[in-house]
Amino acid sequence: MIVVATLFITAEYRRGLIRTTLAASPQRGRVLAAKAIVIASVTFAAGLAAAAVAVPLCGRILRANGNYLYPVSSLTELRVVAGTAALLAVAAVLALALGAVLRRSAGAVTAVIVVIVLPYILAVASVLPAGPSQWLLRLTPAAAFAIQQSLPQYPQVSNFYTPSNGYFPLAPWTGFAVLCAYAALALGLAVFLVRRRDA
Amino acid sequence: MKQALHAEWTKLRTVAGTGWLLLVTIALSVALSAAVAAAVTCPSAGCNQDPAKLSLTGIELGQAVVAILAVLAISGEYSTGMIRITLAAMPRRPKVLAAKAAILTGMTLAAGTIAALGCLLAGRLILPGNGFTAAHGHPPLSLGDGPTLRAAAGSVLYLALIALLSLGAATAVRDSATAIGVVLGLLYLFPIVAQMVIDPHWQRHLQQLGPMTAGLAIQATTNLRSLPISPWAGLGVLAAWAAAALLAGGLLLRQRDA
Repeated sequence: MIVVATLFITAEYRRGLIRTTLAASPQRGRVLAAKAIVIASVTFAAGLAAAAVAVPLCGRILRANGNYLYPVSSLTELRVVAGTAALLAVAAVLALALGAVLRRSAGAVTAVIVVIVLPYILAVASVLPAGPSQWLLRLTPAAAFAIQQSLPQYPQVSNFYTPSNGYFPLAPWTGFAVLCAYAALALGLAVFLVRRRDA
Repeated sequence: MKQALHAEWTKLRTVAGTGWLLLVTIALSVALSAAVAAAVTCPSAGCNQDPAKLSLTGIELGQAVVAILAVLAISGEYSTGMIRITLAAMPRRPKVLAAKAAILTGMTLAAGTIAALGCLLAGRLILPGNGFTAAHGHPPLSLGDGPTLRAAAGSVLYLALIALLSLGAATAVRDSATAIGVVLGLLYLFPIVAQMVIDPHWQRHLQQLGPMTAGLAIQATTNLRSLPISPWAGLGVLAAWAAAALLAGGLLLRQRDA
């Protein structure tokens, strides 16, 4: 979806369609806003379909193979499914905004993948100790993966609440808000630059 | 072949962005390595960290920029239509791809050497301040040390193989955004999936197969026995991925219209 969202704007720059678009609707902020709404809703729908199938299906397969799954309330399951779709939608908006800022497909796709995925890999599957990992998952867009966490933390149980064990430092919706803030910031910058620059 | 090499060198050298991308590769690698080295502490003896691997963490970020450079080397020609002129001038298509691969490898090796040396230097300067001292069993990093030299040289080769993998994938896919998505997906997907898989047997297999997880085994200098794959074999896995990508790209380039 990141590739599709980036191409949504950079392909216009490459083919020159952006000049036609901006001639047809000269209010540039509105063009970007409309693009953001369209890509977000399309991605949300696709992501919701994928997550709605994947989460119960994987749960069933895991149980059928004899794994014990921690019981979660249906509200939590709903949050994981809808949250994953929302995460994809906001990531798509971030990709769109960075595509408008950079106007290069390859650069924009790489930037989005690197800011979302690399902190997660560094924090979860690398040599970094727990302290810096938790800061990575608080400050970078990868914080949004917290929305997929379904295990609660108990203050009376001393477990290793580290990212590599599936525990995120931020609450689910707070982590998601971090990604939203990055996307909003990037979209604001994109609107500012698209207004100022020649197409 | 000499003329093909010269043509590719001229194209890659004069395209806006090549120099910047190489500089950014070096800068981002060294910056991430310095940040990681500053974040890690070794309070007591036997803190079970691998200083060489820590100092070379930046390569995980630098590879993304190398992938952009390699993807743009071919898909940039497709987006501007230059590829038709190239193939009219040099009708033997495998030769074109081979020349591109050779020039790209040379550039990546040069930039990667500077990046790896910069990463090691950052580690050598920063790590002792965080407790990685000889008293704690970690003498300062030096290229005179066999495993450290292997980790550094291997990281440079790793970047070159990533460039070849990206070039092959981009030749097959042709569009720059799709190609970079495919390459980065391939690189970053395996470690994430491997982390989620609970079964240690499958986790190990995924880490042996993934181009990034296997290739980066070359950076390990301690606890070699606990690695999912031995260093040089891991680099071999990545080389197999790169060879497969180049082969697929080369075959498609021969068969298709430009």
